[in-house]
Amino acid sequence: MPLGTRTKDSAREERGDRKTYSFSSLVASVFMLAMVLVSGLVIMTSYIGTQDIIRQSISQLSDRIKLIASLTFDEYVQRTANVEKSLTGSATLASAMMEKNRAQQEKFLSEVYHSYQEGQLDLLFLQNGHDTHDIVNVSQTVFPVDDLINQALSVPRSTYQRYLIIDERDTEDIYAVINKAVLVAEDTGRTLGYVYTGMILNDNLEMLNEIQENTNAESVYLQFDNHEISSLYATNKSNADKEDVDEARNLVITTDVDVMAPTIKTLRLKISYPYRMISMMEWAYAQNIYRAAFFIIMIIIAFFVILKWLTRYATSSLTGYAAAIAHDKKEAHFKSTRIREFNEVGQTLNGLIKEMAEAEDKILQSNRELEKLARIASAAKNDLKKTNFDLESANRELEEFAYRTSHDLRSPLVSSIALLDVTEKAIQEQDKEMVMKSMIMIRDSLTRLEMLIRDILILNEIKHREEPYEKIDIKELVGESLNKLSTMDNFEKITIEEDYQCPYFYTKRLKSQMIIENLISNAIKYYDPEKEKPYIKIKSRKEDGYYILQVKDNGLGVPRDQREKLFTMFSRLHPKVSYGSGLGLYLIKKGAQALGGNIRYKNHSEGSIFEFILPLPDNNQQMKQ
Amino acid sequence: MNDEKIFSVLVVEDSEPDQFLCKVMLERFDPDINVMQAYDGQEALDFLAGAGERQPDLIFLDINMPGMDGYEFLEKYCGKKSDVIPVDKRADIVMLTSSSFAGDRERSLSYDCVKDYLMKPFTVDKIKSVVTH
Repeated sequence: MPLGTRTKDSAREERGDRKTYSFSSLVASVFMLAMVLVSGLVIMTSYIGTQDIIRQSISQLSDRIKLIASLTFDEYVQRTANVEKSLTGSATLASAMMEKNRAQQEKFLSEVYHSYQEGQLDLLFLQNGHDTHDIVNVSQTVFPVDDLINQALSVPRSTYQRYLIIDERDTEDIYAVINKAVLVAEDTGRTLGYVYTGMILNDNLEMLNEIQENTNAESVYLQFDNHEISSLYATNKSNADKEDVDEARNLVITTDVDVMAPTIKTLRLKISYPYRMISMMEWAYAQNIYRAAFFIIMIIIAFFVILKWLTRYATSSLTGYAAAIAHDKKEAHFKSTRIREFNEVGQTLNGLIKEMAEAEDKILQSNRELEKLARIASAAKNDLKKTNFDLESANRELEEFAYRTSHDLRSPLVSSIALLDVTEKAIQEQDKEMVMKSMIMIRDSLTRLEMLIRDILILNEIKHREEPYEKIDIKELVGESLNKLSTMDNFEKITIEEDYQCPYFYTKRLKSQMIIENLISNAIKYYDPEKEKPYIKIKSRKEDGYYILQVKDNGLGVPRDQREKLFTMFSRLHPKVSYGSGLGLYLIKKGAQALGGNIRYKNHSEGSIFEFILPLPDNNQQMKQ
Repeated sequence: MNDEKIFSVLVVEDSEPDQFLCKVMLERFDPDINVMQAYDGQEALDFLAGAGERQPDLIFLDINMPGMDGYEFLEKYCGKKSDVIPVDKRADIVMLTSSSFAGDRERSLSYDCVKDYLMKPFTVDKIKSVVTH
């Protein structure tokens, strides 16, 4: 099954009851949210803050104006006097204001006058105010009041309306002048405008209302002059100093100065914001920027904190999984999260790791099998080596056997033939003694040959005869052997002792008999004639899972340097007692080995001990296998 | 051959019939010959060590003997580490065996004191060829 498909399916199953999210979209959402917050905050703080400040400033200003407007002239003077008394530099402050705003004042007036000249107004009635006085003084040379009135009156009726401009200084009774103007206006059907330049004081407002009521003037204007502002400023400041003066000089009033129509009963102010306000606003703005920057930084930090947390949350499943894999591949399971990408990665990894673990198991198993095979092969190799070794030694044995047999078979024959020649010659010479002697020698040689051939036949029989295991009475077997051997030379001189702790052996009869017979006959052959009481002690016992038959004698024993060769074929140990074919002990050894047992030689102070060792039936079965 | 001195021979052989044959054949070759007998290597060595000035002129040596065999005797009598008999007094040795095994001949002749290698049976002709040689 393709890996990807399974992972996707299982991922879907995993998702089933839990809604998952794309990590990238989560990050994007957090980022966008942060950006929206930042921008919103910037806009809001700057807008709200600035608006707030403007609103505050305007309301403060209008409150002041309303306050001043509610004062009577005397009250105002009183207040100003108090202020001026208490404040240093108030006059300087005022003149600074004047200086600054003269140009604008002039501009206003000339605009009004321009309108008059254009004929938009029939009459312009200009009343001297606190500072328009100077302007009018200046302008009197250009357009004196009387001339203006006369000019106005002389002007033929036209579509043009005119304003009459009056300076209060030129007339003692303002109302008279106004009424005169009104009359003229009525006569001529002209429109009259009235402009009063002065402070917005309660007195002035009342006066304007009065003019409005008592004259025919269509509209009455109050010029709200800059001095008002400076006054406002001055009254607002409780402790003016040089800085304040400098600040006042910088106050900027727009040209479009403030018109008030008491009839409308609304004070409309069009003022550009004084410097202080601007700087305040700037400060507020700057503050807003700092605040915004602070918030932006905080939001960015928060963004990164959230991002980090999000990443850790998202990767925790993977890192946990990685740790679990490092600990134990097989037991590691990926726990799904709400992050889709990581789920997919995790599921894919899960599949891969599981397959890896399975593959590893398979490899381990096949490794174990290989090791097992290697062990088997190694064992087989060892078996082969052993078999080979056995074969080689068997081969060597066979070669030696052939060599020694050919020698030992040929030797007595060759001697006999030569001896026959000697005998023949002795007969010819009628040397009877020589004939006898050589005849004896011939007999010896042939006897030796016969013994050898007999032993070879026995050896062959040991190798090839099949016979069953059976329970054997040792005493009986030894008795038979002794009976056979009783004809041997010196037999009657030797004392035989028997002691069977283990009276029965479970083994093969003929082979055992051959062995026991040979052991006893050897003991007889190699008896020591010099011993006073030659003996042979035959014992049986059980020991460590073996039957042991021991034949002990006080005969000639085996010289130390001959013991190694003791059981090899054709070893004859005693030159002068050389009865045997040299195969005797070799035969015994082979026979014992064929029964699963062995023969061992032990030295003792008086002679030899030979032990025939046979495994007990259980052992025997094992050894057979 | 020096007539004044009796020629002496040591036969080292375990088989009684072969000893008998050797003695008969040697006496046929020279009735005055002095034939000494040993039945294995050890006996021969003991004899030679005790003979003093009367060392044999020639030794006939069998290989296959019980007890000390021919090779062991050679090693002890005229091997590299041998000191039983001084070199100048050692007799020449003639191997006398029924072994037809090629290795035996080579091994025997590798000893300086071994002058010849004879196959049994022992005959007067063979003695003649050895002694004249």
